[in-house]
Amino acid sequence: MIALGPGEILSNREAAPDYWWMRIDAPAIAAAAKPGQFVHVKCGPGDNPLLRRPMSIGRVDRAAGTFDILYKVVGTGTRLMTRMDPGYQVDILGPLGIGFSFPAGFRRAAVLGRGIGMAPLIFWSEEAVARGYEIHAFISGRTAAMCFGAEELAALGIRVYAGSDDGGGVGSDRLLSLFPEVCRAAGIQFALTCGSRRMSRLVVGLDQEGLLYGEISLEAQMACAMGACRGCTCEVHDAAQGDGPHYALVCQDGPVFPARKVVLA
Amino acid sequence: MSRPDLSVTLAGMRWSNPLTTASGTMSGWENYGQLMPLDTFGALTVKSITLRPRPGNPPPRLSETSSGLLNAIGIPNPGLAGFLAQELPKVRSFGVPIIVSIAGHSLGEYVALAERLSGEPGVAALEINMSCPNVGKETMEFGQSPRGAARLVKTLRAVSRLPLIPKLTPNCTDVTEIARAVVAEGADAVSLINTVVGMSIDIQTGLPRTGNLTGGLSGPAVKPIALRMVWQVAEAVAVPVIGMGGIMTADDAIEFLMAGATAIALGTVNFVNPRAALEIRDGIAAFLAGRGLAGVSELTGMARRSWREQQLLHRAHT
Repeated sequence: MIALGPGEILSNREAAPDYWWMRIDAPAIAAAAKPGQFVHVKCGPGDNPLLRRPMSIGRVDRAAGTFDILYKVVGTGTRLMTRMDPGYQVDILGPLGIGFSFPAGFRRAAVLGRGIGMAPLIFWSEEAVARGYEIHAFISGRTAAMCFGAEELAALGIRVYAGSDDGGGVGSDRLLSLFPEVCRAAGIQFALTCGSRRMSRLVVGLDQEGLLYGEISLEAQMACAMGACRGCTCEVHDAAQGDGPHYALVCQDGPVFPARKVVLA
Repeated sequence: MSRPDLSVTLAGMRWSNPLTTASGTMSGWENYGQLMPLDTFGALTVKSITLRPRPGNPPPRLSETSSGLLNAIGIPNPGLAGFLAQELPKVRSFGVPIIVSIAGHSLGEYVALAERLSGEPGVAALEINMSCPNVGKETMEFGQSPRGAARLVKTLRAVSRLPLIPKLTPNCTDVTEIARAVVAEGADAVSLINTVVGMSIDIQTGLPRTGNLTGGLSGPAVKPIALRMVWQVAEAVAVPVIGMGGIMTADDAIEFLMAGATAIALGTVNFVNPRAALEIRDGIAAFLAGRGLAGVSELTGMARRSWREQQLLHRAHT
């Protein structure tokens, strides 16, 4: 179920330099959204910037009919988003894509994220806790303020490890070496990651080793975000199709992919 | 006064309105179908198919430019067999004429596609993609010279009973020469424009932004070029013209019709507004009603007629 239409902005605040949280009132999207899905946002009224911007759906309040977006200002589109005030009707399309799983056979999970990659992981974690998963969260960012979700997830009773590049928490390098150690020690069965190539490599490695089942959320430049233009490809393993290369669409076959499927550059 | 007639007749087909999809801009269909019935379009033009399956170009395939989009998709498609088994039954179910775009690396491949599709129920016409800029030199060679284009159309005319609609490239010296050449060999209509070759460089990496070095530019940025070419081609040939290139609104569509197009195609706009076809179709109808015009065909070539009158008046006064 996909909706296209205006959503009212309830709040739009800079949480750390260039990182903004936006809350949008959009009951149809809030009702249908699954963790790992995204919305496609029109950033301005004219033809420039031309294309919508894809944004992962952060935490959702089903009762209130709202959802959050965490975005980083990287160009003209996201800069325009920072000027959207509460009350503005933003044109959004969604929810789109395939989200993270809630595998029935697993109980012990780890989420590993950095920067804006934390948004869908926060959403997944909230739903996963309600379903009885035991979760360890590993969060990194350039600074402590950019380790998004640390407080929210800790408040849910999740064991949180945070480390920033400037040495805050355990430091971001130590965070990355801590992740496989904890996965082994705690018997983690399912790992989800979003927001960092190094983190993706870690999860792929542990999945290939047979230690756990991993899922990775990828990003790509998108035009249509609905499978029409064939523009947002990522390379995937597909032995059934014979010799490669094989491409999947991040918008429609993802953005979440099983770790063993992804070919990392 | 009764509602304006939006129907158009061209290349042996009757469309309920003058809108079709630009080839390659609406694969998949399911998601778009959730937002708008696909028979909002008067006809559907599907993504180009090749004889054998193609994976398409490596990423990155997209780069946004000012009011435009560079694409280097590379015609990924399931091949003829995959198209017949999976795609065609799906698009046939939408109940509008289906135009199949064919692309080949050699004359033989085009012939094989045309022969097979000519016998296939549900295929209303063939659009001949001889101008995609993203698949290496072979496909472009046919489309960039009048002789190559004529040879291709002549060969296909002999093997296909289906209406043939060559898609013309803007990346040539004189599009009217190519248009005249294909019409002389029996083309039933022509469609234009395909994308304009362009590029973009990321100064942080120092590399071109698309994986294939160059890409095809589409969107509002190309509209003046496309419109000019539609005008020139409509003047040069007597067959219907399907115009496209940067159409975002009903006003844009009406410009192309007035320039000489019998029908128009929507491409890039679908990525920005999945319901564009609905708004544009209704906008054309509102324009006709406002002007007291009986049908959309009255718009075709209107600006060219007005221009000629104006030129005659100027001459009369000098």
